[in-house]
Amino acid sequence: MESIDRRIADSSDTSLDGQLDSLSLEQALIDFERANARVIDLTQRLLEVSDEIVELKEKLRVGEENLRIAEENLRAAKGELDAIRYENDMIKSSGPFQLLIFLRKLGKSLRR
Amino acid sequence: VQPRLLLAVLVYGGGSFVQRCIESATRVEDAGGTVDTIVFDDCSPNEGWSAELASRCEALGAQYYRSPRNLGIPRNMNLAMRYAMAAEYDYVVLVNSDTVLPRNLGASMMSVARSADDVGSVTAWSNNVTMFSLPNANADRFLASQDTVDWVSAALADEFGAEPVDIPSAVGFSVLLPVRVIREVGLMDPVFGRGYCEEIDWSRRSLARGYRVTLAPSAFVYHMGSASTIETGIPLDEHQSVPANERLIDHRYPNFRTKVVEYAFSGVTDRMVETGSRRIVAQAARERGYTVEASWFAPGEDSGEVHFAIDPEGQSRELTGTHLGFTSTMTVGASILATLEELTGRLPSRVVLQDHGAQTDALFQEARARSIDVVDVRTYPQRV
Repeated sequence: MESIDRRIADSSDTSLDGQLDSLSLEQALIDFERANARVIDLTQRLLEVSDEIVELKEKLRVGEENLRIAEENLRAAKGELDAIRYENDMIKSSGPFQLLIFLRKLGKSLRR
Repeated sequence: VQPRLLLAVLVYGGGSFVQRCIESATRVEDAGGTVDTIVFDDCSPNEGWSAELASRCEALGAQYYRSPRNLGIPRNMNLAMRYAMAAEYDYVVLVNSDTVLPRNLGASMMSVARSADDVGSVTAWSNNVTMFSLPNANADRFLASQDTVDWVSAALADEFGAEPVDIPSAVGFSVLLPVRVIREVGLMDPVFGRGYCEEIDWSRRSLARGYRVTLAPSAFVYHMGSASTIETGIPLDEHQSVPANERLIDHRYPNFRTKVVEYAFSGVTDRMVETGSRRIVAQAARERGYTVEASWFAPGEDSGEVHFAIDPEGQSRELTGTHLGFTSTMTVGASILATLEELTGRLPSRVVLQDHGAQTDALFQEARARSIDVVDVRTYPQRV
């Protein structure tokens, strides 16, 4: 760093070293400003993307909750359906129902 | 107006190869303008070595500058480009230090740059210039000398003249940039850190502004490849690149890889390689004489002599010429020696018969008819 300070101090130097030191320093400052601008821009974009991620995460959480409720409802409905099917099967296999079926078939054959 | 050219040799260590590069840079002919060589030492790790390099530069007539801090390749390039602008050069050639430059470098590259107003960059041709390379069997053995590079480059300049070849991206190992184009396109992007791919980014920016990205087949530079990077221990992938920088290129220019594939399928480099290799082999044979062999095996790495080999049976009708690690394959006409005479303007100094076959017999008859020295080393019977 000492040599840089020395060279910066001697800005009137017209030798190749002096000219290149001067150009290098000027370019370093430009690069710094550009890099700084990029950092500011990227930080802004990072914040925007972070907000978007938070928003999307909340949407995801709500969606997952809705899905969980829907799954519970589905499970309950399936339980009800299974109970109805069971009841239906019981009715179909009962003696009075079988007798009714027999009488309907007998009635049809007598009508012919 | 006489053009002013700045040769910027970018150095970071490299004791085993830097001096020959700088020597070659100081020998580049001015071609009707002025050529200045400045060595941009990017704060090489060994200060003592840098001091020696500065002395050697002074002795060779090159200017020398050591950055007080390491900049990395793109920013070191930028310093050279900024100096070229500040000192009002017309062109700057950015050169890696693991190269040997030909005397005609400046003349050939500038003639390509001046062939059209929209030429925005001119990359030199080389044994090692990514997908545009002119292949060589053993470049480090055959090509790493000033005389050879001068001769090869002069032969290629005679063949190709000022013809620019459009390529998808410049290659930073040896690239000429017109200063007026730098003023418009800008410098290399420092986001590429220690380097690799910065010239692709620059090329795509220049193309977006309507400039052509070209290669000069008339300027041949020997290039070791990645020497400084490997010496400093920067990790490269299997394609000798930096993956993080490649991802940046993919992000900025999603169609770049497609352009590269399209170029690869265009056959432009294949035709250039075929023409260039044939020129080198034929011209060497014309100037130095040559030997023809009828052999099942291609001659080994040659020692500077020019060899042509034919298939003893003659089924392929192919003739393969080799010189200094370059290979050229061509089709034989009705007469082997007439084909070679037409190509080289002279007959072979000797014919060597290594293996039996119909074409070996034909070659033998032709050689005897033309009183050419025949060396018959067929040490086994015709039917084995």
